[in-house]
Amino acid sequence: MVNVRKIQKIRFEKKDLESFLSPLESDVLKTLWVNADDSSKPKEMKVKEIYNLLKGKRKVALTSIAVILDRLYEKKIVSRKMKTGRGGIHYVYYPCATRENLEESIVKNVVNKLIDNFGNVAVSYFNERFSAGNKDKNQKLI
Amino acid sequence: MIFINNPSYVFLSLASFSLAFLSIYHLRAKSHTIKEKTLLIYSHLIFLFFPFALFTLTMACRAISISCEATRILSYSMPTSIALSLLAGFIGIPVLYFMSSRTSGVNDSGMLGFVKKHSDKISIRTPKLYVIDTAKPQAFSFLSFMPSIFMSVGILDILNRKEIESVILHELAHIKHGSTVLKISSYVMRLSPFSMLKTLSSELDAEERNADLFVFKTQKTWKYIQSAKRKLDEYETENNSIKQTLD
Repeated sequence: MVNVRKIQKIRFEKKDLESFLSPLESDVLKTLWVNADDSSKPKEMKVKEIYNLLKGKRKVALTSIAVILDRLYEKKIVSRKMKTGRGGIHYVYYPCATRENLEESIVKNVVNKLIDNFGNVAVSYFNERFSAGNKDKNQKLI
Repeated sequence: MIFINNPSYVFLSLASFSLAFLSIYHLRAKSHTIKEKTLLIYSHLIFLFFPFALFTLTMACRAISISCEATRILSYSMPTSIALSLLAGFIGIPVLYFMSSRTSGVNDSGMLGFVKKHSDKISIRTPKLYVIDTAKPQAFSFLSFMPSIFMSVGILDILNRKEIESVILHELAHIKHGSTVLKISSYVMRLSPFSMLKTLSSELDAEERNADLFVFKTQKTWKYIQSAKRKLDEYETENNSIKQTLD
């Protein structure tokens, strides 16, 4: 499970990654995942490489990408290391987990927090919601 | 009373205060070099606090009702504060950076060659180049016992080669002019109650402009140093704005 304790806000009016990340954070993370999934590309990316990929799709500054990557690093969603290469010394970033693992961790964290805060009320609701009687409703979700 | 009745003590104290004010007065002149300004700062502090030290050491225990221990502590506290500030500024803080686990030496031969070439041109000892493991873009230099330039990985991430070179040249200029000494001295100067008569912010700004001018003369353009500074400002603005919006 990914450590998601630093993600403190869930925006239920948003869907998908944007419920707990900003639009730019989501785009940066998706870019890292796409790269990580493609075996022909290196798993780690520099700030400038991510910027070059995103600037064609949206209006964004290099400094914004740097700020966002640092935020994702602090939230422990991405990791980084210093690398010395042809272009000098840089950070290379890579995702801490796959998309599935991250989403699973977020869901577990939210559910655990609901149970911690609301105790039996939350547990009763989950039992009722995911009971056999609601099988059809649950099937539609999956 | 005994202190005031001693003509030599009175004369020494008055002379010392006069020299303290004279130092501040001369500090306001724009024609002094950094070395001269630094000398004037420490002269001002020494002349300002000399009479108090003289009074405490010779007369205080007999002249006033505060215990000898307390007056001794009071009289030693000022020179101790100055000494500790100097120690912290010139040795303590640089050592902390050198010893930090987040600091490592730079092995990039291109960058090291660039630093050596331009250090030799301006006849200064080649500073050591260090990189700090942090995303916040920053660059600074120390002159203390070993000239050094520190740059964060963050600044190397957002600047291109020419912009990085402009930042290195900027720091080399600071080392050449001894700006760090003036900066630390300006903090120590705040120990004086008369520091408001002469703040050193205009001198420090002038040092920044001189360093930029050195970059311009070397690179024959303002383009790179200006875009480097613009990116640093942008990062700061973005960082603050994102923190406010998302946190």
